[in-house]
Amino acid sequence: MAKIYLQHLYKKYGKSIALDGLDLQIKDKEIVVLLGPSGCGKTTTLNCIAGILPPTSGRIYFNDQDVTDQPPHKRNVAMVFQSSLLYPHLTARKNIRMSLRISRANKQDIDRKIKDVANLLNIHALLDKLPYQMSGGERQRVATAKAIVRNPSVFLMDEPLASLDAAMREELRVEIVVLQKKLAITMIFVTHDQVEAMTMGDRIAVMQAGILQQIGTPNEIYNIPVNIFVAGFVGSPPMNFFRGTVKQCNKEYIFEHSKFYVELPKILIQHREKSLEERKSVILGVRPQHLILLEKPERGALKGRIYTTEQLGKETIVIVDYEGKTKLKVIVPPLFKKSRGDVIYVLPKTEYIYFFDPETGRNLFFKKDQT
Amino acid sequence: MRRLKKVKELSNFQFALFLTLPVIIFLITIIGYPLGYALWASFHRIIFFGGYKTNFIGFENYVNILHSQNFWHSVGVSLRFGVESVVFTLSIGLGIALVLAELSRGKKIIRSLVILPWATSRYSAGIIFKYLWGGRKSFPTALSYIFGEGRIIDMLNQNTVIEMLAIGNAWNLAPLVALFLLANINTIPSRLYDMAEIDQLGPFRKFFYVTFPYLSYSLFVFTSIVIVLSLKVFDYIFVQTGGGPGTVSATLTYEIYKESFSNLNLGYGAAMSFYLLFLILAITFSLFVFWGRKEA
Amino acid sequence: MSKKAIKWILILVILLWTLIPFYWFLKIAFMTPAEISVFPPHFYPHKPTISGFFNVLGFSYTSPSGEFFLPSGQATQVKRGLLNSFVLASMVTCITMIVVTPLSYAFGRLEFQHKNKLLIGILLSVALPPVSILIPFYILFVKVGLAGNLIGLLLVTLTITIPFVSWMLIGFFRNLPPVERLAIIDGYSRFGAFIKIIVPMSKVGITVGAIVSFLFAWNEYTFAVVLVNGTFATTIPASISGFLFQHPEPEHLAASLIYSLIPPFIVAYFLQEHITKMNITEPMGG
Repeated sequence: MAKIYLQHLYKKYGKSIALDGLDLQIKDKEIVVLLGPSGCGKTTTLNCIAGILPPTSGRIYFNDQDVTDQPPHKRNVAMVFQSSLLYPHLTARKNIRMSLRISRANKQDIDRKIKDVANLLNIHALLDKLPYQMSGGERQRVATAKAIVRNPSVFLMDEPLASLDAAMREELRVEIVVLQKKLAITMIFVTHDQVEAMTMGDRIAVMQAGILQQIGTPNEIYNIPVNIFVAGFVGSPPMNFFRGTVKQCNKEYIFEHSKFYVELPKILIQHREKSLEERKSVILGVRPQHLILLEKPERGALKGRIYTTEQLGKETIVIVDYEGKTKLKVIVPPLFKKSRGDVIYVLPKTEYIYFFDPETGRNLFFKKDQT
Repeated sequence: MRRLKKVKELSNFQFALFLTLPVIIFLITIIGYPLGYALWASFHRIIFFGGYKTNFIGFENYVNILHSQNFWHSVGVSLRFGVESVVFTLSIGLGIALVLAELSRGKKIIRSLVILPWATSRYSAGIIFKYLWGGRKSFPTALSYIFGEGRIIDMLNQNTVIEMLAIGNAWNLAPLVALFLLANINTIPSRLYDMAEIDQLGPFRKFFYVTFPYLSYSLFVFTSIVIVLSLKVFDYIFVQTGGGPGTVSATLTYEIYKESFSNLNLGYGAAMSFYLLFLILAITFSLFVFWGRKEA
Repeated sequence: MSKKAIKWILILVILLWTLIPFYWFLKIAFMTPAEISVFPPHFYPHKPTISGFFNVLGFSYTSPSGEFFLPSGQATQVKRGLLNSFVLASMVTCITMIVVTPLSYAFGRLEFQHKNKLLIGILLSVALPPVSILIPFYILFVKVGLAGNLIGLLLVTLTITIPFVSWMLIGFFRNLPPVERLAIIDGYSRFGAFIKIIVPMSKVGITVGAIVSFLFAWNEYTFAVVLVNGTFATTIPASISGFLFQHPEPEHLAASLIYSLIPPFIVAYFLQEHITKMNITEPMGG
């Protein structure tokens, strides 16, 4: 049970900067997912919170107490590592017992706690096995049991599902969230898989190059991204981007691209004219499910050819080649009838468009108080 | 609350130092001092007889060595012995590994037998092979009396002695190579062999395209090990041939021993030993540069 | 010819290659001096005897057929040699492993300044030919009074075993899973983690290192002959050299060689078991 505050964390390794002034607040009992591509600093952050890695500068507070100089066991953190790390020469039971080493519990208490945690994670059959005798998923369960047996204030997980197969991942995803709610422990979870982040996190902290890009609920991250990085990273297939200019004639605004244009409705622009005013070029972003495919051209529609279609059962992904730098990805209902090579026209649903500054990447319509 | 942060930051180097310093000091003292003395001795003429006298003569020893026929002959012998040892050891070791890999039953027993030559000391191997090949009672002699007109066959004659030494050396060293290569072979995914079957590769191609790549790093490592061991070995040669017949099998190490212990020409011997060290380092370095780096 | 047949033929060839050299020499241990001097040499002892094995340990022996064999003049050296070798090899093994395990761990898993330079230094010691430093060692030890007793030989043997076994184990430690993180979270100090977690985890590597140390010490010839031959501190290789150069008694030579081969052979069985488990297999059964 802890709320955590990271203040201006810097971490330098020689010349490279892993964390560049990270400020992060985590509420008690919530699951926060640290999400980002490899090298963005999420594991470094986790290690600092754990106490395994001292930051170059900055402070870490647990429940308003400065723990920056305290070792992990004093902070009462528990950690589950990638590749289900366990002591390879000890049985599951002994592995779990190791976590209770520091606590002065007597033998009966220890045995009782092991039993409780075995119940919780359903690992009775594994208790006397050695790690190499278990499957990946089983090892992760044991590692999780080992972590929570000492009633930690904070539960840290470093890509715990990365080395498991898809079915095991789905199963454990649910179990972990249920477990956390049951135990009401603050959990911080690192992953590069945005689907995992979206399904498991109460809030998601998106990181890139050692800097926090945005922290918010999955809904906020998805629908109100703060910049083009967050917009493009979250969502699969990813958002489509077009570079163009916004022109005004007679109080009507249009977005103009070399291959198409979009008439922007007043509602979209209302109160936001200032952001668009001085810009020469902007980047328009629109998600695959917010594009409409038309057989006949309409005003300003983009003309392209269908490159390929992917039938997913519940929907179909159509990849359109319009001779731009990338190919367009569009999601349509499953009974889509067109095929490869067919000419197709594309228009965005104007209520779902985003505009980004080409230089800073900032979402032009983002307001700070929306976090 | 203790300031643990600072302790941890420095701790990597300090901790490593704490673990290793005593040993490093020990090694430096026990190796460094004699090495230093040998270096000093190499620049002097040392007279051991009737009192201990030393004259400083600069590089004279080093220069004289380069003019000595014995020296160059022994370098040639060492190199020939070294290269042949590598060829024999690696091919035999590889052969044993490949056969052992195919074994399903009796693995333990056969592996235990195969490793026996390696457990045998260098000098024991020298003695064993001396009796196997050499003199009037050699194994080939006995065979010749059984299978044909008997005659004495002494394999340790001046034409073949170095090759025979290399074979005995290979007998001694191959099991270690075989065991490590076997461990490597066991990591090769069997799917690759299935793929080779589908591509209709014959046994030789299967070896080169599937098996060999997994072994090449170990082969490099063991080539280096075998050549270093062969260049610096003394007891095996000394016991088996004593540098003979005559001086045919006098390797550089034997020559150094002779100069230092028989002729009591300590400074000269010391200088020659630095040539040997240089030779070993040069060969290992070249191996690394031309082969080892590619494996990294 | 079927693949299976070829396989077994090859195995036979390998076994012959491995065992014939042993057999050819060691059969002499079972022959009388008279039979040994017969020409052409016999393939097997026509009148086998185990007299050599007793003589070499200082006992006289009477064969069932009444032949009497005197104990060998070298017997005291042989007995002392076996005992001293055992003591020496045990001490070398203990000291080497105590010293090398932390050293290899440090080089295998920690990053620190000057690491590469030190590593190269260690590797260079492995390349050093013993004969290069033989004389200085001898002179030094005579001066310091370490010649002719086991301590000198112990120190010298350590300079062979420590670099070599370190080199072997550095790779082993490098491949261990990163359990230090687990240990820190469980509240271990770095040194505590090393002693209580890493060492128990590394049984395979440590066993191989110990076996190799033992073999090196047991088999060390050159330094033994120079430093302790003929003295109270003689080791078995030095004693055997006596049979080669001072008193040629082939049947006794062979018998003492057989004695000297027993511990290495026993130990070799365990070695091959562990080498196949070391380095290569995933420690966690991944």
